[in-house]
Amino acid sequence: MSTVIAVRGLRKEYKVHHKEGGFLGSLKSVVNRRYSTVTAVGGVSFEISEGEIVGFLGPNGAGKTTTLKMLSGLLHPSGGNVSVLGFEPKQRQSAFLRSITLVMGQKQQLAWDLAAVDSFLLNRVIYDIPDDVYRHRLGELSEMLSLQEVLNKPVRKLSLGERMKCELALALLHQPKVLFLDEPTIGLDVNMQRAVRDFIAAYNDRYRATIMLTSHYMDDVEALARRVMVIDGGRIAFDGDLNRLIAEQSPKKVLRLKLASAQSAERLSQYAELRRLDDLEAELLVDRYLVPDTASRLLAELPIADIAIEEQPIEDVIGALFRNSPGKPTAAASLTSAVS
Amino acid sequence: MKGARLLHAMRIWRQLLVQYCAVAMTYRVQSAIWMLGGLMPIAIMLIWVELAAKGPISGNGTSYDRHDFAIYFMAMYLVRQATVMWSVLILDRGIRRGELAPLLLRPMPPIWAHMAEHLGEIVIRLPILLGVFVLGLVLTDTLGQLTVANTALFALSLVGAWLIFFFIHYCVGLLAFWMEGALSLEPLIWYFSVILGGGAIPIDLFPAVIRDILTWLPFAAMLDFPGQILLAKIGGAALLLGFAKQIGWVIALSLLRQKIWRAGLKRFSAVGA
Repeated sequence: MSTVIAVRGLRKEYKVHHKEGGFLGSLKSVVNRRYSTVTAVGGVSFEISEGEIVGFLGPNGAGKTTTLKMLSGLLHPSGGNVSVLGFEPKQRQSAFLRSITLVMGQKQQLAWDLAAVDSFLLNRVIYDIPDDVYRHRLGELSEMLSLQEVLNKPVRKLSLGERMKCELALALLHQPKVLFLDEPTIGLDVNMQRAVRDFIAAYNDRYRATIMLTSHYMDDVEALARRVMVIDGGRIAFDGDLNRLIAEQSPKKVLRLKLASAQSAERLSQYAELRRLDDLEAELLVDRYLVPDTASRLLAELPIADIAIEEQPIEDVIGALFRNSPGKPTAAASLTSAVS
Repeated sequence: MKGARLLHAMRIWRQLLVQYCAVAMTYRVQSAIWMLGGLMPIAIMLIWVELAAKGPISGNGTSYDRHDFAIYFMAMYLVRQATVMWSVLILDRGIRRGELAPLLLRPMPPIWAHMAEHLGEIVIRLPILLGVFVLGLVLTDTLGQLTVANTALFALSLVGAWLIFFFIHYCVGLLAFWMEGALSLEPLIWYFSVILGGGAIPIDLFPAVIRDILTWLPFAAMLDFPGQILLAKIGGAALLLGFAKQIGWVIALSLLRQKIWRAGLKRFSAVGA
């Protein structure tokens, strides 16, 4: 398989202005402006092959989005080399921009005041898509994402889920070979998340597109990515198989309980590690292999109104990657070398 | 190849204009309010017409009677209204909040979208502006003084004025790459254009030394020059020099914009970029 994305020692540093709060702080910052340099991405290296879907994980502020923005040419790196489809992204050459897309959950390409279809018409012209190809692709995207009823509505009247699906379809209208997806399911309900996930998988399957995906939802990553890269503090801490990451770093699941009557912390702790107890709601951390047994016992022995079994939040899993090790750089290095 | 690229660019422009005219239509109430706020030149006109009631006001070998003032300030009204800019706001928001990012991802210069946004607005408001303009001239009994040639040349100078205004605003807006208060500079452009460009006092009525300096600044090329054309106070070599100044400023400012844009993009780092 050919390498589509090649990154060597990629860095991004920002100069940040510090200001104390309040009026006095504002006054001080006028007289004595203080800056510091923040390293958002501290020299990451990796390669991604054609058709791969890679989950790019990390806590908030880890450098995920900054990396995606450098790969898509939005930000100029402070150092290192990047090659995407043989292009240097920061040059923003037309042929490069025609071959990639970046979908950001919180940023939109759709014209807010117009019907969604107007933005599609504009992109058809910008990307110089012939009429018949445009009709075919729009039909295909509409079908895959169930957009038929949505396209002619003003964007501002769409629900968040409808808008996100339109954003995705719009970003893929020119059939890019490389997709950078930054939180594509953020804020969506469970059904909509699944629809978007299915769509991304189908697009990858149909067009052998290379996809880099960030998400705080473990389900997104599990459903789509076999390979994950974990970034923290601007450095790659893990690069390898997802199952291995979960098994190693998240050996427990969360049992979320709604109780019919209040229970003491001592009583709940008899079943598993009590993570949270808030009146009639509780969360237990249970070893993966004990989940069926513990859930059955809880249902049989306690007044349970509702029970849900969930993965630990992705941030906990990633957090564990570091908490469990005596020294962060060593741990990161050993994990990386272990999978490479 | 070049021809195909040009055709493609024209198709993009057509679609952008269609889109932004549609956007402007959805904001027609806001446009109407803006137009009400743009009546200041007409108020200034009334003051000057009153001042000239007793006789023409002279300066630098030329004089303005009440009809001249009426034509001049109706021209100011039209120029100001047709060159209303909000690109500083768009760029300040786009750069600091990252709203520029979606535009940077398209294989199209982002400035095209910003230009089309302004032009779409003009297309929608132009019929009303022209209506007010003609009505003003009729009420001041000056419509008959306009010639077809001068009106056509005035329209041409309006294009130059629009481009100069646009690029000045754009350059100021791009300062948001470096500073947080680019938006606070916007009123300065307005003050400079009103005071130094002839928006309140025709440049001819300034002292000769000051007038000679002001006529070389972009503000006079944006406001006073179109006014002079409509008044038929300028012709021949002076007319050509006026257009040459406009073209010169458009080229200089567009090059400056390009330089600032390229330098700024390297700094594009908004947290939400």
